[in-house]
Amino acid sequence: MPSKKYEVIIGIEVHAQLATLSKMFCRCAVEADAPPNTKVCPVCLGLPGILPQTNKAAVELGIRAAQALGCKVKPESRWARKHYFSPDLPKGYQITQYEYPLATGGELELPGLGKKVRIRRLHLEEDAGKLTHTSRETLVDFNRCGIPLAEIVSEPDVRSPEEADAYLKELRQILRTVKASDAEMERGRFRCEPNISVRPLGQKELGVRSEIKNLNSFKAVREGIERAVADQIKWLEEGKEIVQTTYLWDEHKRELKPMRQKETAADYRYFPEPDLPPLILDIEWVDKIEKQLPELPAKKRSRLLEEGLTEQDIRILSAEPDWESYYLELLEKGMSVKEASTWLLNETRGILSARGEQITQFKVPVAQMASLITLLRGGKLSRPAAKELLAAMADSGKDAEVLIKEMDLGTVSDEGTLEETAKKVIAENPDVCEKYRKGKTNVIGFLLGQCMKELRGKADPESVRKFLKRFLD
Amino acid sequence: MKELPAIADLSFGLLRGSIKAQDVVADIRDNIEKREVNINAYINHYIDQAETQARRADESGYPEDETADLKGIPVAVKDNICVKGWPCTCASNILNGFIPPYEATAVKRLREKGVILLGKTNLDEFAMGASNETSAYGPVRNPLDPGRVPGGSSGGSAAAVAYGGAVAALGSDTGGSIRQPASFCGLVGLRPSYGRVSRWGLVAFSSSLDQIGPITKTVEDAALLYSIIAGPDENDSTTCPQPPDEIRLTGRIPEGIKVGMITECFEEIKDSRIAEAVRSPFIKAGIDIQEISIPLVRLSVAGYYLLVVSEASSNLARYDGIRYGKRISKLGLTETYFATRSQGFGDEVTRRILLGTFGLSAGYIDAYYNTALSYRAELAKQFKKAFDEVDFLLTPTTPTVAFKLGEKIQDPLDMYLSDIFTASSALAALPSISIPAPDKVDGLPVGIQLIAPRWKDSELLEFAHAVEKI
Repeated sequence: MPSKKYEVIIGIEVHAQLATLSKMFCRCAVEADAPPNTKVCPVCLGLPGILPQTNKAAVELGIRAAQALGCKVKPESRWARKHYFSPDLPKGYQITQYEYPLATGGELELPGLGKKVRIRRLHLEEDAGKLTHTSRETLVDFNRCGIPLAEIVSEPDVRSPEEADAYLKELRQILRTVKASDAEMERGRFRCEPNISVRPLGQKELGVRSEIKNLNSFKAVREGIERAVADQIKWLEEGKEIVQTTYLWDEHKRELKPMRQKETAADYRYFPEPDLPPLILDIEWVDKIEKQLPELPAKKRSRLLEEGLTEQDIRILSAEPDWESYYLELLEKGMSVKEASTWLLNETRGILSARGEQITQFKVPVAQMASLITLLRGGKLSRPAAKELLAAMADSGKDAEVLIKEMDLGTVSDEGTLEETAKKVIAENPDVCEKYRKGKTNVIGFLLGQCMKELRGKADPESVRKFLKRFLD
Repeated sequence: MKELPAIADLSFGLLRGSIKAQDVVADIRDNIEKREVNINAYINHYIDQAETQARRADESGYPEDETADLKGIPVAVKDNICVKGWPCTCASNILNGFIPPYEATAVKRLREKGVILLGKTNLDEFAMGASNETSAYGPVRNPLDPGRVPGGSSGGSAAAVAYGGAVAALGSDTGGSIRQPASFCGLVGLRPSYGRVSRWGLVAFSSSLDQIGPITKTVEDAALLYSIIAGPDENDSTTCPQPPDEIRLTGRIPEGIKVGMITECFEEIKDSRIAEAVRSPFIKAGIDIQEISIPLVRLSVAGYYLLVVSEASSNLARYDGIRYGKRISKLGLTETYFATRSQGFGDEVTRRILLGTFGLSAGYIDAYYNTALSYRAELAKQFKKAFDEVDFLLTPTTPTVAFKLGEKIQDPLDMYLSDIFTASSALAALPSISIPAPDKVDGLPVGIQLIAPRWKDSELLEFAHAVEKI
């Protein structure tokens, strides 16, 4: 909802579950979906007399994520306690980082939008448990309690729901690329909380913020932000005072439910965690982690662009790892960028979306796709026939060679037949031939079409064109 | 009362076969049966189990190897230190029914050396108190004079050792909770350097100060227990990764040793006989004692309480009745929290949670908690400077001898001042020991407190051992 009168300012906090095998401060397995309260121990249950021990693997993943976002990893960061009462928070506080975060000052490029969003900080903390409310009671499951999280806080550089969407998708992609988090939003492993304010264009001071929690899909993020912006503009127009409010997004009613206002804002009483010494990092270790980072999405995009992919192809590939790996395997089999993108991103995508299927359900193995493209390239298959073949392969899962025989799709390469067909079409279209001879050479396309029709598409158009030209010139 | 041997004598007797563990445990049973009803040192004792263990120890014999260093030695454990499978109450109603499925590292290490555990001793609720009167299980009385307090918060541990209910005990010290009761009961109490003994399994009161340590009859016994429980523990990230130094008890006062009497402490003493009792053995032995000023010690009670109430408010947030302990169920969650915590905690604990919550609140944390943190850092610097001049620091352990039950319980500030000589070395993370002075005051024991630089626990024990012999 672009507005000419107002400017929208958005900052985003993301909590990403780090992909460790064990929890942040104990040795329990990270399996939030296991039967309730089976992945717990005295540490993550916060029993009396128990102390946390920092999981080095979680620190390493946090460092990787920070480096991938261009943040400066601090040689010393510290743990703090954040207090609030909730049945899913067994110690009555969460161990997090407050004044001294793991990393600060990075940035993230929004793909295709030519814009960067600055990252203020990335810090480590532990997740809380999970509450399930029934009509009669509330149940608590501590499996998730203590799972390591990276909290990633952006500067208020985002200006629209679309940019927020692009920011989150790119952030997710980066976290996945460096394997810091699988960042599955639907499973609560990538949770975002945007804060939104609106101000009249030209005004220096920021407006009052609305924060939104419980956004469990990209769609919800967009809709939630749109709702908050619309509300704020309405209130500004009406001259109403806006109170800083935290909202919950109601997925079903698709509306914002106020959770708390500033006057009732929680006082978390942060103070240094006395059970854990400061987190002091070995610089060599940090450097080694940085050297081992894989190619990051932004860099890969510019490389693929140079290699001839379109921006749209790149967008699809970077958003969908399964497509990307299929694509990369095609390149490995010697297919060109153009071939791979035509046959995978156009044709296959069309077929699968018509069938309502995912790439993971696609019955054509990479090797078979490669042989289809090779046959086409060698003139053994016409383009229409190749399309027909691909559809049949996707249907049956049969090999290309088998289907070509079954469906009689191979090209007519018998020169006699091609010559005869060319002669026949020329004889049937004297007017067109006349035009050609007078210099309107592009009418050859029509003649070629006629030939292909005669041959039921089963010929290499270039060979046919050769015969036509021979007889016409 | 049947007098019990010290650990060192008992070990030696067991090895030679001149004493049986069964007989010692039988004596302990006798003493418990006679005195416990009046003294109330134990919250739970397991004397039957102890007898069985003692019999087994005697039957299997006493090999001369490290695995049996403390075999057959009956020890009591303060009830804020977890023993697997035994209720851990912290002398609070809020932990009713809580049985830890794990064992404190200190207890585990003692057991590995063959110690017989007798039971869990009484304490001030969550170790918050200096008289052992805040226990939900009733006050502990001083066996030397049952009209008086045994000190706190490890009052039960000290009382049990004092009346022959245990040969030795583990206590915990946050700002004096081992040293003060040891002093009131005429015993030795060691607070190790912060980070020397693992806190794993010690129910936290104030995490940056809590330390487990022994309460014993002699310095040698304290050294024996300390050398087993001290050392790095991967379960406690705040333990020192280096192992502790070896202890050589020679009983000799080292040549040229310098002891500094902290001026600010001696100035506070109203009863000059206490100062005299503390000084006299040093004078007698011709040890160089000099006054040394550590000005910030004057503020130690204020600084100490700001920190401990803040940390306590955080550490005790977990007692909400949701997962374990006592729950007072009400219709709503908030109501359940209120009811559970209001009824589960006693007055002193409630007071400290309220003070600490306030001290950490937005708008107040700089004035209170953060100010106390900077105070603590400055205090540690002043101590460090003092140790450039002297080898050990000397103060009385307490400003008075054991006071009467009920004397201070109505006046929290007066009670807090009991920690005046013990809080400062705790804040500076320094090892400190209380040993009984040779002279008594009004027939009651006086404690000598010696303080050493951080990590010099072994030297402190060696010196205290020599002073004890004077």
